[in-house]
Amino acid sequence: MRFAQLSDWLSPILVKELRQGRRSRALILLAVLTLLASGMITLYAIGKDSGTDAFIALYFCLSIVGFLIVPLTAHRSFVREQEDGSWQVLQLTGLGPRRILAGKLASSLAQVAILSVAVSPFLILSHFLTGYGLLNIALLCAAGALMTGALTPAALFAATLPTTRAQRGVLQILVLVGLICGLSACVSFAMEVGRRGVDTYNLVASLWGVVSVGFVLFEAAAARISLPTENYAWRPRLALIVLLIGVTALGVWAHVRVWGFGVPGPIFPDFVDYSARNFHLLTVLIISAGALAMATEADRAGPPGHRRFSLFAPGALAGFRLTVLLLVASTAFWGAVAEPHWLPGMVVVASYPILYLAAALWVCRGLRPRALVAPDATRFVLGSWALLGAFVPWLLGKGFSAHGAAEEFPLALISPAVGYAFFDHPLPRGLYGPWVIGALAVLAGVATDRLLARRRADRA
Amino acid sequence: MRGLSRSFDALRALDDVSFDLEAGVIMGFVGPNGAGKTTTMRILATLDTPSAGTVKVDGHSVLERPDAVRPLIGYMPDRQGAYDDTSVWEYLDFFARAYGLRGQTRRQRVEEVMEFTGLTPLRSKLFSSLSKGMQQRASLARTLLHDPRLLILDEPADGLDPRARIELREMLRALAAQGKAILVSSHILSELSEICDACAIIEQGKLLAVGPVDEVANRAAGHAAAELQIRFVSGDRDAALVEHAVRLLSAQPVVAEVTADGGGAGVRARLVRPPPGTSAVSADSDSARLLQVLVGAGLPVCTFHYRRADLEDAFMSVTKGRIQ
Repeated sequence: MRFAQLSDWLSPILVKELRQGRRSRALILLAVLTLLASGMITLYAIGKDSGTDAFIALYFCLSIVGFLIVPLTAHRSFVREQEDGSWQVLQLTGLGPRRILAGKLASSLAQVAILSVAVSPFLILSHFLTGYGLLNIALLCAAGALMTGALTPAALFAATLPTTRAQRGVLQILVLVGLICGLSACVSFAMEVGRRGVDTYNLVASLWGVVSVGFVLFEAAAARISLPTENYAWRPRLALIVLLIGVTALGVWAHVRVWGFGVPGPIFPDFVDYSARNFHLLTVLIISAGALAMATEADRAGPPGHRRFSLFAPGALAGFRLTVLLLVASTAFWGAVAEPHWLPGMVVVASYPILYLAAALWVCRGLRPRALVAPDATRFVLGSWALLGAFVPWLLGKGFSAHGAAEEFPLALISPAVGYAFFDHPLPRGLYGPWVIGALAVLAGVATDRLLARRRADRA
Repeated sequence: MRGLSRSFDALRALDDVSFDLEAGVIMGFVGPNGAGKTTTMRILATLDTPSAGTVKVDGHSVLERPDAVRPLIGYMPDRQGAYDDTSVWEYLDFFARAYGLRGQTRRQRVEEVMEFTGLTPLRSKLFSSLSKGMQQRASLARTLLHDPRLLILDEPADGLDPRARIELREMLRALAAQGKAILVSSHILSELSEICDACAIIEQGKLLAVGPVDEVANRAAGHAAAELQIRFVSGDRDAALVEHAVRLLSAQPVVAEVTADGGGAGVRARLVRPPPGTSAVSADSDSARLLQVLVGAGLPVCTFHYRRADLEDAFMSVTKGRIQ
C-alpha cells in the first residue's frame, strides 16, 4: 500500500501537522540540536567509559523534548487555534472534538517517536558502555512515551481554560512549571531505576495513575471544545466512572485472589503490604483530576436536555459533596483493607484534595471577588493553587532545611507531594500530623459545604 | 428561521428574527456592527444555540439534528485562522480529509474547487503568505469542498481590493446559478445591492426589513421610491425654463413632488412609489415617458439622471444607527 493510500486512514490533523513539521524550522533545529547533544554525550561517555551517566544525560535530552517542548508546543498552538476559532470551523466538517484532540496527541507522539528513533543508536550504545540494561532502557522509553501521552492531554486541557489574554499569559507560565515538575519527576525516576533497578509494581501503578489522569483530562478537554449544539458533558463523567470502577474492581479482584490463595503472588511479593495504599492513591488521583476537570463540560449553555453538573458554577453544591464523598469512601474502603501502618498516609492523601478544593471555593465563593466568580476562574484558581502549592513549598523546604530534606521545613507540608512523602511511611512519623491534617480537611469540608449551601440558597 | 432569539445575560442579541432563504437565492444580511448578524449566522451554522426559536436547513433543525445540518452548510467566518507552513493545496487537502473524502475523490474535489476559485496557479504557495483576497478565496474554496447546499459567508468582501470584490461577486453568482442558497453579510451596501437577490436588514437584534432587494429598497425608502435629476442647457432664461419644467412634471401622475434644483438650470423630481411587484422595466418606462414630455415641450435637457432607491437608501431609512 502506498503512503498516499495509507495516509487516507490517518488522522487529518496528524497528516497536516507532519506536513507542517517538515517545513518548520523550529522542529528541524530541535532535531539537529538533540542529535548533536546526543553525539557529544556519547563521545564524552566513551572517553569516560560511563554508560549510566550517558543514558541519564540522553534520557534528559529526550525528556526535554518529550515532556517539555512537545507538550508546550501543543499547548501554545491549541491556544492560538482557540483564539482564531479554528476548532469550531474544523468541527463543522464532522471531525469531532475527540478526533481533533486525538490527532493533536498522535502528532505529539509522532514527533517524539521520530526523535527517539534518531537517538536510539546512542541509547543502545550507552548500554554497551556498562550502562543500563536494554530491557530497562526499553521500559523507560515506553514509560516516557506514556508520560508524553499523558502530559500532552494535560497541556491541551490547560489550553482550553483561559478566556482572557491575562489568563493565557499566567497559564503558560503555570503549564511550563507543571511540565518542568513532570520532567524532573521522570528523570529522577530514571535515575532511581539506575540505582535500584525497576520496581515493576510501582512503575505500573504510577503509569496507570498518569495515564488515568491524562484520559480524564483528554475527555474534559474534548468536552470543553465541543460545540454548544453537542452534548459532550457525559464523556468526562463516563471516563471518571469507568476509571473509578476499573481501579476498584481490579483492586478488589487482586485482593480476593491473593487472600484467597493465602500467600502473596509470585510476581509482586510485597503486594499485600502496600497494594491497598496504591489503589487508594490511584483512586484519589482520579477523583482529583475529575474534580479539576468535571466542571469543564457543564458551565455553558447547551442543547435542550443538557443537564448541568458543576463543581464550580455559582450555587453548585452536589459536585463538591460528591467529590468529598468519593474521597472519604476511598479512604474508608482501602483503609479497611490496608495494613494499619499505611492508614495515616492514606488519610493525608485524601485530605489534601479536600483542603485545596475548599481553599479555592472559599476564595471564589466566600470572598466573591468579581473577577473570580465565573466557574472557569474558580477552576483556574484551583489549578494554579494546586500546582504552585505542590511545587513552591517543596522548593522552599529544599532551600531552608539544613539537610536539603523538604519535609524538615514545616511549611513545606502544605505541598501534597511533601506531605504524602513524609507521612506515607510504614514507620510512624509525626504521630499526630496525619490526624491533624485529616481533622483540618473535615472542618474545611463541613465549612465549605455550609458556605456553598448558603450561596445556593442566595441564588434560589 | 422562525422567532429566533439569543440572549447573553442581560443583552438581547437577537429578538424574534424570522426569514426564509430559497435555493439559488443570494441574500444580503445587512446591519451595523453589533446588530446580530454574526450571531444569526453562527446559530445557522450550528456553532451556537438560540435562546428561543427554530432554525431549519432543508427540514433539519440545527438544534435537534446538527449532525444532519452540517453536511448541508458551508460556513466562512470573518477570520480565516492561522495555517503556518501549509500550502494552499495542503490546506484544502486537510479540510477535504476532515470532510471524510478519500483517495482519488478527495484529490479530484480539491482540484475542482481550486479551479473554480482560481487558486490552481497558487497551489504550492504557503497559505500564510497569500494576500487577504487570496486567503478569502482559499477559505471559500474550503467551504465548497463537500458541495454544500447553503453557504453562510460572514463579511467575505471585507478587506478586499476592487478587483477581488468583483471576482468574488462573479463566483457567488456562479454558485447561486448552481442552485446554492447563499447568505452573505457585508458592510459594503453597494456591493450587496449588485450581487443579492434578497436582503435582510437587522439592527439591535431586530429584523427591520426582509425580502427582494428592490422591494425592500422601495418599501424602505419612503413614499417616493425613485428620483429624477434634470439639468438644462444654461442661459439667460434659466428661471423660465425651470418654472416650465416644474409645471410640466407636476402634471404627470407618476411624479409626487418637483423642486427647483437650487442655484442653476435644473429640477429634482421625486416619483410616486410604485406598487409592490412593479418591475424595473415599468419604472424605466415611466422615466422614459417623462423625458419624452420634457424634450417634446422643447426644453433643452442636457442631463437626465434617474436614480432608483437602493439598498443604501433602505438601510439608512430603516436603521437608526443604534448600537448595543
